[in-house]
Amino acid sequence: MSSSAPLDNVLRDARIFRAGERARTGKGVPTGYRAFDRQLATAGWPRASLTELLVDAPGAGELKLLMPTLSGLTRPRRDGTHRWVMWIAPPHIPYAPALKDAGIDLDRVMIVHANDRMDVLWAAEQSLRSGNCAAVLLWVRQAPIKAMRRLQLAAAEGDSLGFVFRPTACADEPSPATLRLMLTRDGETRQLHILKNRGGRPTALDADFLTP
Amino acid sequence: MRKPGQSRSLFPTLPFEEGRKPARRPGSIPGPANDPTPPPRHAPERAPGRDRLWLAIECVGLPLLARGGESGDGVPRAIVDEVHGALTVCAANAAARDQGVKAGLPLTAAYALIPELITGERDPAKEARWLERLGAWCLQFTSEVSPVPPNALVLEVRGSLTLFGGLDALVQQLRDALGALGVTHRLAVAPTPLAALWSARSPQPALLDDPARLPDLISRLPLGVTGWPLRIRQRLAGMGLRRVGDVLRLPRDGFARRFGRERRADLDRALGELADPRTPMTLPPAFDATADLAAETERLDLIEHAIGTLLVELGGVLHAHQRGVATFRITLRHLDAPRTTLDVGASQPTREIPRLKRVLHERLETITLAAPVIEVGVHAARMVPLTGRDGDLFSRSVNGAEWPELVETLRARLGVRAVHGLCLVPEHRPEAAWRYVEPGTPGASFEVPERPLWMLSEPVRLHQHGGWPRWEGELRMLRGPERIETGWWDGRDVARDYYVAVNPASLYLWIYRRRRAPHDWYLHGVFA
Repeated sequence: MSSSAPLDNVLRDARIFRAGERARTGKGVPTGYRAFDRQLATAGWPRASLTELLVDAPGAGELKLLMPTLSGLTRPRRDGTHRWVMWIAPPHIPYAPALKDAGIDLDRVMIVHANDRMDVLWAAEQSLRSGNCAAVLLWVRQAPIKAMRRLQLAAAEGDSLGFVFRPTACADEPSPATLRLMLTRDGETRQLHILKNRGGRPTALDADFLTP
Repeated sequence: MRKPGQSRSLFPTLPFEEGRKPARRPGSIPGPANDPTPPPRHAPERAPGRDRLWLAIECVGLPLLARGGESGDGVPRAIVDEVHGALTVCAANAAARDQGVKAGLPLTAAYALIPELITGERDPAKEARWLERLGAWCLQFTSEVSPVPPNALVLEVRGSLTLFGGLDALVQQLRDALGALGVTHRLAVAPTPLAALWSARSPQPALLDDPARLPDLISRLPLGVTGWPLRIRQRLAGMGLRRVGDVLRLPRDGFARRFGRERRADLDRALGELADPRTPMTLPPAFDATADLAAETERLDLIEHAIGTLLVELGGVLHAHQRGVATFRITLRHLDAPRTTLDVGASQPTREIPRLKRVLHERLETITLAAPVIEVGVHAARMVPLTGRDGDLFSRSVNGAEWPELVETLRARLGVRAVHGLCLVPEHRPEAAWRYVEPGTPGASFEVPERPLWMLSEPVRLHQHGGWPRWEGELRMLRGPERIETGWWDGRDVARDYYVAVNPASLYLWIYRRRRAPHDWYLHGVFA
């Protein structure tokens, strides 16, 4: 018995590929939803990179999906430092009482208003790259692939999680994002589609956990 | 910002070399319908470093800039100079340009357009100093900058293209940066410095990166761009020759004999057939710049703006140097009082313009002006090497301590009111239960009831069907009512019954019904 414990430890290592399991490429930031984490190649949000979230009308569960993550990210880190969560050009007012209720430290939330698409992309790039932001959320309809690539690079450079919210019509456009998700509603059922999952495979899962 | 190890060559490109790569930027200038350029053959790539590319900047507003630039007070101003014995406008500010006064207009005509026009005399010495300073500032874009008096600069940019993400990106950044300095300019790119200069002076400056199309570009230019003496141009015009191409068709020797060898050499230099070495300028060891104010003023905002422009320039020089300053000196010159000197210090050496401007602002807050100011100056004697912690690429703080700089950067472009923090307010009215605060303001914390994550900035009135609210279909009430009735003391009282409702598309909404007539329904938030 004593000899199997080290083996288990070895097998638990994310770098070990076991037949029947998906390859896991490094440990991500847990999303707070186990069923969802299990579908992701990084077992969570891919670190220091861009995630694209395709959603048509606000209210598809897109914020609930992020709440556990953002709540964790706004807490002080072990060394006592705090990083920011930026909201760039949100479609409505992120309602402070609800954010607070979801466990987010409001002192670490910043809202940036920008009307022009280029300003939105610029502000996101600055924020991602700065190293001051744990996560950057931005809402933009059209984003040239070049701009998305810059955001991806900036996220890597600033060790930040970038979340780009775009309409589902963009699903067919090529994207440099590490992870691409799409949220759809069909009557009572919500689906979370994983369109692109670097190191894993595309799939879809029931997203009842996002129902308010 | 320079690319290290950039290759150089002493001689410009020979444009007719064979084995050239296909045009990199098709459509930069309109090509003839029947392009005479032979298709590229399969030949080895050209040696790197020989393929040079020049960017010319003609600072059309230099006379104005040297005399104070845009004043920002909406007063029309023009700088005048004697041209062929007549007083002529050589630069005008935006307020004057809006009313039709532009360079080249006789002063009498300008007065006819704007009787209250304020004029100033041209100051060539100041213009020359400005051009030098602008050149030093341009060194952040390339290591090779040469001033071309009276009002132009040429930059070799081939080595900078990769660094800046291509020609278009480089040109855009340069234009933005020149705009931030208030330099009205014309800009062109060509494979030889002279062609770039001529193109910049022409009515349609081109960005041409393809040596094969250089002769075509040059041929189309009007002869005025050459800057040849007026009498020579008049003689050529008398012969019916108006464009450079017309002159190129003349027999070489005959042209050189009649109009001067130097003219023919100009043509060859523009075409890249004759070497056109330019002496690159080097950075001055200290930064020392002054700027006239357009008018004597006591307004601190105008003074701060003028100094701010000098700081933008200082930032560019520091970038080119890979250096920063911890302290700099501001001088304010008055007409009737001794000069005011202010030492300004930052906590650490920096080359970040918003930071420099912030410390400037803080310093100016503390002073009382002795007299109106006519000229401002910035002097930075000690430019210290930066260790790479500052600057666009390196200013990331993984400990998050430098976030105020991020806020400054965002506000510098988007405006102060574009960046906010959030806090809770102990208030029952949902729209007043939160507010924007300065980022980083610690807020109160208390328990809050269930609320939607999105709130609409203005409640939206819902259509009704049989007295029941609808939003993309019928609404089904899930929870409620939660009665909110408050605020009578400040005249914005509310009396509402809130519900959580869901529509057929499974959208969860936060709606309310007004308790007073006409009892209509509103959408106030979305659960997301």
